[in-house]
Amino acid sequence: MLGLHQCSYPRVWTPQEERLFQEIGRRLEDELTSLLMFRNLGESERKLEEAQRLTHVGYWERDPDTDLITWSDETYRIFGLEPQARALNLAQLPELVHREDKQIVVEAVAEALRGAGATTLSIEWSGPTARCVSSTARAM
Amino acid sequence: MRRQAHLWFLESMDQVNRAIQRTNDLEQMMSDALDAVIAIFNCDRAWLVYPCDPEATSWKVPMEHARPEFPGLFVLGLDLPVDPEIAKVFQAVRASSGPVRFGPESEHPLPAEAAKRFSIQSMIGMAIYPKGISPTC
Repeated sequence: MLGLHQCSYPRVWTPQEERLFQEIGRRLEDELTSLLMFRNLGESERKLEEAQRLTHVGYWERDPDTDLITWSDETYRIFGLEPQARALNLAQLPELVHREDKQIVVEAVAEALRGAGATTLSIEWSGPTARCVSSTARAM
Repeated sequence: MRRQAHLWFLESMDQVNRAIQRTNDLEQMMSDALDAVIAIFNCDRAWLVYPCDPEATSWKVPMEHARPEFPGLFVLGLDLPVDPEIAKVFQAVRASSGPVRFGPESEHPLPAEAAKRFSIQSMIGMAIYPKGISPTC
């Protein structure tokens, strides 16, 4: 509830004041809704990040218009990179996996882009320590 | 006269919009908006009450701006019980789709105890229902 008090004298609110007060109330209602949603979204993102960090699961998505791949922070960590260290495109993705698995990645991406449902693959990371990465992709 | 009233309405909404758009921080936005509202209406106190629920056991003021000579409930930081008079205020406000006047020349009397305690001589209030929180704001 939004309200006003007049304490210094017994005020009679005019119809114009009522109308303005109503409009301000509606405006505040809209803005509160937006900011609460913004706050809730931030909270959800923080929880998702934390869940990814705890389970070592990350997500990624590719924008076909720009060819840019967006990774979550945990996906960067899985591939041994600093979170959000650099933007990646599809052509750079095979560079990050073991040379024997590069073709698997290329084929899996092509399959996903054809819209053949979810594509799951297991690959090895090409970093200094052995690591197996399981990835599932789906074209949307 | 009518044109002047319309101009005042537009200028006031612009003032509120500018106060709202200054920040993305919820508390700061509300604080700035209440400041603007006090200036626009030249009133003594602007506030938010939650929950506006006649069935609730207590109510509080999560935010309030007031002229220094008329500090309100926010300064005290208290939760107050929903007594029968306050319940009537909440009922009237929730039953209306627009603002409800309390006090002089209104069908709704001021809640006597609160009026005495906080020096209220006139009051106007409306229920607001931001999506994303309990609909009892």
